[in-house]
Amino acid sequence: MQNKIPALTSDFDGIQEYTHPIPRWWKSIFLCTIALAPIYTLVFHSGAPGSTTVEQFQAAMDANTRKQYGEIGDLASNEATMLEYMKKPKWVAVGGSIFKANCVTCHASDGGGNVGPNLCDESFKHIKQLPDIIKILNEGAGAGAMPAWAKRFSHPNDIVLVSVYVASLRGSKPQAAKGPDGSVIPAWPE
Amino acid sequence: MPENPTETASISNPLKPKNPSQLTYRDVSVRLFVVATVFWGVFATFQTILSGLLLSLPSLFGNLHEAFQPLVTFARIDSLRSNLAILAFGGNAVFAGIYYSIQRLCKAQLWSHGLALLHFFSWQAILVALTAATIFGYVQSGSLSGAPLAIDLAIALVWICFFGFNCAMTIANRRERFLYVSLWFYLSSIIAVSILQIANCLASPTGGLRSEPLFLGAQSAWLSNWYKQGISSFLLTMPYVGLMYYFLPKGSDRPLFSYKLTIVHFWSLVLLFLCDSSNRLHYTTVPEWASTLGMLCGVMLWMPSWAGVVNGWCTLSGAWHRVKQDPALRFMFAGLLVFGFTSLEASILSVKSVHALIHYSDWEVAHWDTFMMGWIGLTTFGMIYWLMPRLVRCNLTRSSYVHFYLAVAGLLLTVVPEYASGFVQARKWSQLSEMGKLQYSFIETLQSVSGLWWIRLFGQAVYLLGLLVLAAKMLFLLSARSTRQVSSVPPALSVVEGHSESPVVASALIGKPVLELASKLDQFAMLHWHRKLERQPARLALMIGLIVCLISFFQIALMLASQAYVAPIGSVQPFTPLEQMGRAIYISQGCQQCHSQMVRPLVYESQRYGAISQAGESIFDRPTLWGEHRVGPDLAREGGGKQSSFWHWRHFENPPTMTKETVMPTYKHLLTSKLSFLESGTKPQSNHLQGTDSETADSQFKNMAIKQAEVIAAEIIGQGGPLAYEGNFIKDTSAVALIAYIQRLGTDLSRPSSTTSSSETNKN
Repeated sequence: MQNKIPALTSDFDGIQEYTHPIPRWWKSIFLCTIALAPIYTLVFHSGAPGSTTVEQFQAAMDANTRKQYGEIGDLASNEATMLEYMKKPKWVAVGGSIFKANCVTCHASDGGGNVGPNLCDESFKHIKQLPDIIKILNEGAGAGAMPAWAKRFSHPNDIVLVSVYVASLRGSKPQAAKGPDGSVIPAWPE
Repeated sequence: MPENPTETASISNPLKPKNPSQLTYRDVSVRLFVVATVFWGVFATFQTILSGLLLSLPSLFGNLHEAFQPLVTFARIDSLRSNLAILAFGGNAVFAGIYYSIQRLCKAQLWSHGLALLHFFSWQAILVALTAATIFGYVQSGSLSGAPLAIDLAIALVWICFFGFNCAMTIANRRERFLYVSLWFYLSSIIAVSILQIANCLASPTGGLRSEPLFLGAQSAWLSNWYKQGISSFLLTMPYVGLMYYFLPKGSDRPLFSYKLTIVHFWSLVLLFLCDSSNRLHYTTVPEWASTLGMLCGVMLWMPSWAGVVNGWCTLSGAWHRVKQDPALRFMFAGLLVFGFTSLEASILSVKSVHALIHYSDWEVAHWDTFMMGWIGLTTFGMIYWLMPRLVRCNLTRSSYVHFYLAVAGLLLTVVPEYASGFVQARKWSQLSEMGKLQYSFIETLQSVSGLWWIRLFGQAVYLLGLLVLAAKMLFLLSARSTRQVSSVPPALSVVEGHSESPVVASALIGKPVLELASKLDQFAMLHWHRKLERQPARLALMIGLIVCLISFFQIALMLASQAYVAPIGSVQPFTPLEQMGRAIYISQGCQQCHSQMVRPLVYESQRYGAISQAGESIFDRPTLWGEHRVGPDLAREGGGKQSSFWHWRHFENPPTMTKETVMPTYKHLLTSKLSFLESGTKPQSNHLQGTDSETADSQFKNMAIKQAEVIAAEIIGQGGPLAYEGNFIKDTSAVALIAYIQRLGTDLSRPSSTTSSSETNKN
């Protein structure tokens, strides 16, 4: 079949060219990808609400917040709330995932301490009672050695839950734990 | 495979009738470029392996003297290897291939042998300078677009005046009426790279070897991306497609499949290649139109890229036995298949939602390595196996088999683990638990891919072994005198007269009862107008140049215009003097090779790194350091004491004490080196120093820096750090400047929106 297709008469360094037509599938796909452009532009750039990246992000964030905390609403930053949630393993685990994402570079992944103090023993540096944990998390301590986290979380519940997790670490036995810092404080109330 | 001694050339109306029997091709520079290609190929692959080793074993050179430690960090070697792969390996191969084929396709000698030699030596000098600049940290920003201004200018000069001019004159003196398709691709490469390179030189020197780009913020990010994408398309892909169009029909001895397809192929690539540049910037703070344009053009590029594959494949069909026998053809065909794969992948990756997942992960490294080692690498080897027997009269078939299998195995063993690692990273970074929280910490994602990195390292070693087979064979051939003697007698040209132009076929629709427009369109589609264009290289070049300029300027103008609409953020301040010095250290150490500075508007990203980045935040970034790869975590919101300054101090001293599994190397040399407060190559950013002459400005600049260094040092000491470290007060060290910069990152939004002086805002 190829013999019927005329070759161009020029000859470049021994190379000849056939004038086969462009394959039809090639043309069709190319035209489709071109046709996609105006359609996409119309759908996503017509100014319809919710079509920009940032709007989509906001919607996804709201959905994510609802998924996380829709069930419990806004938590109060007090001792009673902390005690209540320390008894709910599901929410302690949520605190744990926040801890893992933000705190392990200083306090180690099991809370055993590194540049930051050991959170598992009986001695604490700036903490006398449960709500102090929330306070230290919000405001920081040690001239910035412990950062202030108040503005870094997307939801205030995060602070309460990570405090709950930290409180629950007390008494666990991490490997290679750091020695005690600060002074021994009484056990958390029941 | 010896050259046919009675090579005939059909030439219609020789434009410059010289005495043809005396004409020989000038192949000395071709041979030099081939040798350089192999040399730099080995060197670049070696650097790749070194960077892989440094990634897996960050303390590999822990015992080295401190003065040498900064020279062998992953960041610098990684940036070096990608620079060299493009400019040294790819560049030299392109020059060799073009200098060889342009003479044959023009039936003319290279215009100037001396200029080609000058080109060769100056290009190698540039490469050596670039290597030194990258190793010693004299860079403007990340890889490729970050070369010092002097080197950028030298590249522009050599490319335009030595290489481009020589090629243009060769084409002007051609003894062939029409330009073959390869020459169109070469022309587009020469023109577009010239324009890109000149645009990349738009920087203001800031003393010494350092300079800053003229544009800032999102513009700077976009422009450097436009440049990088442009270089990989026009310095590599375009000439390589041209080479493919020359060597495939030549090697298989079959006519090129479709002339029409080459035309559509060529023009669609020229039109689209510069429009898709922002498809690497999806979900960053570039305007949304740019992102959409990048995506749509990226998708449109699928078929134009495949046009070359279709044309090559169909040309070879019926000559498969040649592909089996001829090493050159085998390599080239494999390269072409990889190109088909990688260009399809590029189109898929340019889709916003796909890109969101794989961006910053090893997937992008894998994509790049497939492109570089597969398409560029294999095609180059094919070309070398074609050229060597013709330049040095030898038989390379047997060693080429070994090389072929090593190259393909090396390629697969490199990219498959990389794709796997990219997939794992992308999945683990974005995975949320049932409760809507992040499932994995960053360090856990690193741990899960470190095994794959070792396999990749093995693959790269296999690839290097293949290259060494080629290098050894070549060394052997070049050292044997007798073979060189033969090669210095290239085939003489003979001219065959009597060749007519192709007849113009009129459209069948003319004179038929159809609209005049229809018959005109039909006539247009028969492409006789293009045939005319192929006789007029100047007009062809002009058209290419116009298209490239118009597309680029249109996008740049839109970019500048939309920057005016960036919502101004009152609290965003210029960097303080000390922060600028820290920033210079950040760039020079190559931190941006592993750390991005961009929190994209994605739920998992915002959960991991904090509030999303805004366009107004980077208006003092010159250049932006958004980064392309996350070996380490994003740093866009690292400032404001997310880790204490003392933490950073200890982290630079010895990262594993902070995070045991980290791959961050030690930067202890920053803790021991004194910061020279004036010579750090930084230019005061405007509103610190208003209305002062340069001398007072300098001393004011220095004083502000010293003051802030004291504040940061006091902070570190207050948090439990030492007063002095190995004989220096810590306030005098480079590390303090870098910490000042890091503590500044991403803090602008939370600062009260007023005109507080910057030194105030920097203390806690």
